[in-house]
Order: sequence, then structure tokens, then C-alpha cells
Amino acid sequence: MGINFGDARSFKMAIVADYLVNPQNYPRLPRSNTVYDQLRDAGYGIIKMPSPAVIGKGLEGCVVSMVDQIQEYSNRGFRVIMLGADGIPGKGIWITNMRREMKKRGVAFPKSIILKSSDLQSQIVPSFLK
Amino acid sequence: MVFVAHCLLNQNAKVAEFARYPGVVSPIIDIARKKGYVIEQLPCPELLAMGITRWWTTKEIYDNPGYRRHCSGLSKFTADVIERYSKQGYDVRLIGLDGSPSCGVRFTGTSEPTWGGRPRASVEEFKLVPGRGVWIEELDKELRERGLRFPKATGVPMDDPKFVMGKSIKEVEEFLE
Repeated sequence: MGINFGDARSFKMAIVADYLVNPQNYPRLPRSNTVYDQLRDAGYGIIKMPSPAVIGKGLEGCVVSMVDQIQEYSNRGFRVIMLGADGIPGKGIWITNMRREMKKRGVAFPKSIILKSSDLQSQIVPSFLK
Repeated sequence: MVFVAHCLLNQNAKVAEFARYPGVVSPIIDIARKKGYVIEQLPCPELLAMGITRWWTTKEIYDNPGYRRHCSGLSKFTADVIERYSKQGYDVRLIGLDGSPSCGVRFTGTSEPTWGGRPRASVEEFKLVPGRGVWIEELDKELRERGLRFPKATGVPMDDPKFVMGKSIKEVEEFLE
């Protein structure tokens, strides 16, 4: 049996693309807050990946810390999912690097989805979060 | 744009008994969103060093060369992001977690020098004192070395047993004006 956390935490968290929290930074994509609102209302903790445009040479250190979190939470029985976004600059840089780091460690990749603009208002996200 | 303490977006990172919300601390984060702020999340150095089942602890205990080196390592990629936003002309701000031994901006959590070793201390010995947490100090050091100013900053005192959300909402509203 694990420790008794004795507080309000949900034991659920989502690793999300910057666009889903900061849509105002992506003029070519819909300025939609839907996914953030759904995650918040479903009680998910959010681990936001920095925008590929601002991470620069910090990418490697940031990827290691992301994977450390996925590994730690998963080992302790927390639910970890990932939501990416299609069509953002630097497409795939996070997923590619995280996959590489996780493969190296033998850690399973979390349940994940890459959202298209047309998915934002659909039932895809609510069903994915269940 | 505003950097927020990791746990303001993810309460699962808190030490046991300190999560006051299931996930996002929405009363605080939603202020930044309504005001149109770009939000970046600081890493949680405690979770990354000691994991989710870590003991409660204080600044005195975290204040050691190894933990400072760990925070200093995280400050490199965090400072990269702060630097990029600053160069792009953003007004960069930071909301830490007052009372935290790592992420405190105005207040940090301290204890008697006798704390340590076998876990037996009483919560009443935990004291909030003016000052920054170890992680915030190391981030400041990295920014200074790069010739960058520490962002205008405040903290949400969620690690204070007497925390009142209403007061913090008012403070953050004013801070993000």
C-alpha cells in the first residue's frame, strides 16, 4: 500500500503542448481554451511543455525532467496522459525527444493523443480524459 | 507573460497533505488567463529530486550543496526560456509559492536547527519567515550571471496553514495589472 496523501489531489495529470494553454501565441490556429477548460474541470494537473520557439538549447534538460516526472508518477500509480497539437511550429520535437529518452530508460510512453484543430470542439477530448 | 510555480498548474506535485485542489489551482491561473498572460510553468525541484512520497521538510534541510546544484541545473533551461521571452520584449513576471522551502518568493518555510534525522518533529515547529526558497535563490543567481534581472515576482502562500484564497486572488489581480 502506498502512502496516504490525505489531501485534494486527483492523481491524474496531463502533459500538454504549449498551444493548449497559450493559444494566443499561435495566430494560425484557433484561439480555443476548450482543452484547458476541460482538463481543469476534470481535475487534471497540467505539466506544460514549453513552446519549441522558446526552449532553444534548454531542450535536453527539459526533456530529462519531463521523463523523470512521467516515470515517478507512473511508478506510484498516478494516471499520466499526454495531449499534443498538430500544426504547431517545431512539430514533433517534444514527442521525438521524449520517446528517445523513454526508450533508453525502458519506460512506457503514456496514453497520448495529437489533436487537430477540428478535434478541439469535438467529443474526442472529453472521451480521452475519461 | 508569467512564470508560475509548478504546483499552481499541478497539485499532484505537492508534498502529502498540501494539495488544496485536484489539479490546477484555477482561481489563480484563471486570473492570468483572463488577463491574456502567456503562462510558463517552473519545474518542481523537490519532486524531481525526492519524488512524490518525500517527507515534509524545510529550507534548512534543503540548503545543502547537492540540492543547490540540482536547482542550479534546472535553472539553466528555465533561464533559457526567461531569456528568450525577455529578448522578445515580453514583460516577464513570476508567481512563486510562498511558504515553500524551494519556491518561496516573499516567505519560505524554516525550522529549528534540531530538525533532521528520524522524522519526529511537530508541525508547530514549522515557521514561516521572510525570505526566498532555495530554488528561487538559485534561479536568481543564474539570471544574474547572464546579466538578466529577476522578474517582478510575488507568491501565493498555499503552504501557510493560515492560507486564505480570497486574499491571494486580490494580490494576484493587483500583481498582474
